[in-house]
Amino acid sequence: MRLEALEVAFDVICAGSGAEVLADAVEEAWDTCLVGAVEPGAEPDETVTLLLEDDHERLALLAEDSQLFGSDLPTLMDRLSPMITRLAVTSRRDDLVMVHACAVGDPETGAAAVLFGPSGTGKTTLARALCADLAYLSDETAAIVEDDLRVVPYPKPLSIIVSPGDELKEQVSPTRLGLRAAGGTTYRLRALVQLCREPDHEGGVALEQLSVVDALPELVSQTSYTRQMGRPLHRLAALAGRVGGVHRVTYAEAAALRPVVRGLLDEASGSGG
Amino acid sequence: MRARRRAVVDVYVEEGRAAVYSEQGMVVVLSELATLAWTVLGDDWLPADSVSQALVEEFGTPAAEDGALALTEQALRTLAEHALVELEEA
Repeated sequence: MRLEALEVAFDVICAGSGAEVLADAVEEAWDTCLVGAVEPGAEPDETVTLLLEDDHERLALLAEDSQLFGSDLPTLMDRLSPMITRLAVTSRRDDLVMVHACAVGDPETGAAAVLFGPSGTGKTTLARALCADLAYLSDETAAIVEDDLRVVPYPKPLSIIVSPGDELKEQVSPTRLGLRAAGGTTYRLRALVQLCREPDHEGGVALEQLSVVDALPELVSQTSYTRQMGRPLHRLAALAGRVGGVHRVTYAEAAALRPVVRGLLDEASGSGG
Repeated sequence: MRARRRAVVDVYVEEGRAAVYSEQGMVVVLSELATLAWTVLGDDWLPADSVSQALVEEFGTPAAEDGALALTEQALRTLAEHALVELEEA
C-alpha cells in the first residue's frame, strides 16, 4: 500500500504471519493518508517494511530486513506513526518549515491556524475538540511552505489512550473520530499560536499577543532542523510577522479554545490575511 | 575581567531586545541591558570597564549600591552561563 505523509510517498510492505491483520490495521488507521491509485512506475520516496510475526525464530530471522518488527500489533502500530513522521520530516527538511503543532483550517476560506507546543500540551485533544467544525490538518507536524504560507496537510492517525492505565496509545483514524477532512481546499497559515495548557487555569482562555522576540525561544524549540535553516531566528520572525505575530493561549480545557481559534481565523480572513 | 562574544547560530533584535540562538542549541531572550552588553562585544577581548561605560552612556549610572562595573560584570557572567560570551577574570 502507498501512504503520503508531508507529500512524501511511502510504500508500506507488511510481512510475517500477521501480515494481513497488520495491513488491515495500517489501512484503517492511516486511511486519510492512503494514496488510492498509484500510477504504474511511480516510485515511492521511502519504503518501509513492517514485520508482524508470532513465531519468535522466524521473527529473529526476518527482523533484519524490516524497519519495524515485533509480535504485538498495538506495539507496532504505536511505533509506526513516529517513524513515518520522522522519515517524512527528514525528507522535507530543506524545503518546509515544520513545527511541532496541531494544525487546523477553515475549509471555506483556507485560513489555517498552527497551534504549537511541546508534548503534553494537548495537541491531539485539541485537534479532536476543534475539528468537528474545522478541518484536521495535523496533530503533530504543521508543515509550512515559506514562500506562499501553504500548510501541507498531514492528517495522520491520532494517538489516543483508549482506557486509563493503558501503556500504549491506540492509533485511530481521524475519519473514525469524525474529524473534518481537509478536502480539496488549499490552506495557508494565518495564525500562529503558542499553547500553554494549565490544568488549574481558572476563568476563560487568556489570549495575548507576544512580541516576536519573546515567542522565538518556544517557536524554535518546536521547529525541526532549525540549526540547518540558515538565520533561523530571522526566518521564523519573518514568518510570524506575515501572519500578525504570535499569540499565546493559556487554557485548561481544549473545548474552550474553539471560539478563540475560530475568532483568529475569521479575523485573518476578514482582514484579507 | 574582560569578555568577548562566543559564536552563535543567529541573533534577532527587536525594540532593543535580542533573542540569541547559542551554539548549545538554546534560544535566550536578553534584557535591553544585556542586549547592549552583548552588542558592544566583538570577537576580540574587551575589558568589562569598556562595556560598563557603554551601558552607563545608554542607561545612566545605576542607583543600586553596587557600582556600574559590578552590575556589568554580573550581566556578563549571566551571558557566560548561557554560553553567549567568554570571560577572562583579571
